[in-house]
Amino acid sequence: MNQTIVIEKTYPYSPEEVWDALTDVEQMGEWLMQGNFKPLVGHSFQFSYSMDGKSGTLDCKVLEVKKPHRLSYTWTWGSEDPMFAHGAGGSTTVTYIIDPVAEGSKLRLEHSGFDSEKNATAFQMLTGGWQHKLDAMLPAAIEKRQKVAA
Amino acid sequence: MVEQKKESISYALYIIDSMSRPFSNWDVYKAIADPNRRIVLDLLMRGDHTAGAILARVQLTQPALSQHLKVLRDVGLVRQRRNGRERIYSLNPKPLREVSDWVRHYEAFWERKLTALGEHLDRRAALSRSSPK
Repeated sequence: MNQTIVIEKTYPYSPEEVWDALTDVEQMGEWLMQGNFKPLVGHSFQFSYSMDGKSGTLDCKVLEVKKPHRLSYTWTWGSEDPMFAHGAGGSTTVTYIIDPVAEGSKLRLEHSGFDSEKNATAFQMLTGGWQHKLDAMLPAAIEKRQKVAA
Repeated sequence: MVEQKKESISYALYIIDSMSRPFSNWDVYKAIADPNRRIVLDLLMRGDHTAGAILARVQLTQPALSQHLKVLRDVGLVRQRRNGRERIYSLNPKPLREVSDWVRHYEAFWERKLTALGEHLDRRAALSRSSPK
């Protein structure tokens, strides 16, 4: 199973304009999240967000800055919370690739690392090895309920 | 040590999940993280059970089972109905189906964000067109 998310979008704007939206902190706050990002390799920063009155943070570190074509940073569960500080979290990587096209720019987003051993272990531990059950028994269970309901 | 690890891992999924929908699956993860609740769900997957029938098959006291059933009902995994004096429990698999593909949650998140990026770029373009030069 492919655990890297890949999404491509084309925008009628130059790669430089798209790059600015991806790397200017104020612009990022408009479409992505508030944070203290800087387009410098090695820079550690955080995103903060809130939803339904709850708030959280993501810890990130810049990996690649190749203006205006490639930007990459890690995307890790926040360490602010005292609960999280004890254990290992999940660490993934977000990569933006910008290519000029006739219509403007094609942005390719890759979010990888969901299948890294750490994350797989985390999910396994949490679900107690239930993944196989979810995959195997679930369709049967749903079908059965539909028959009963009918 | 194991307990702390479990909590931080649960929190990890709490963070992921909040990135795509308003925390709805965090509670489902918590619900299925408990091995006793998984046993109850196993039973209900095979068919509806009365509380007594479940009790006969689990190593739980009645109050403990009630508490577990409450957690499962709160997240929508289990439904309760009455048949006379009996309470009958049934499985609602829908929340499980959503939980089983956490990658899909992030796909939805990025779809929304990249659409928002396009709208943001459009707004900026419109503003720079309308501002006097």
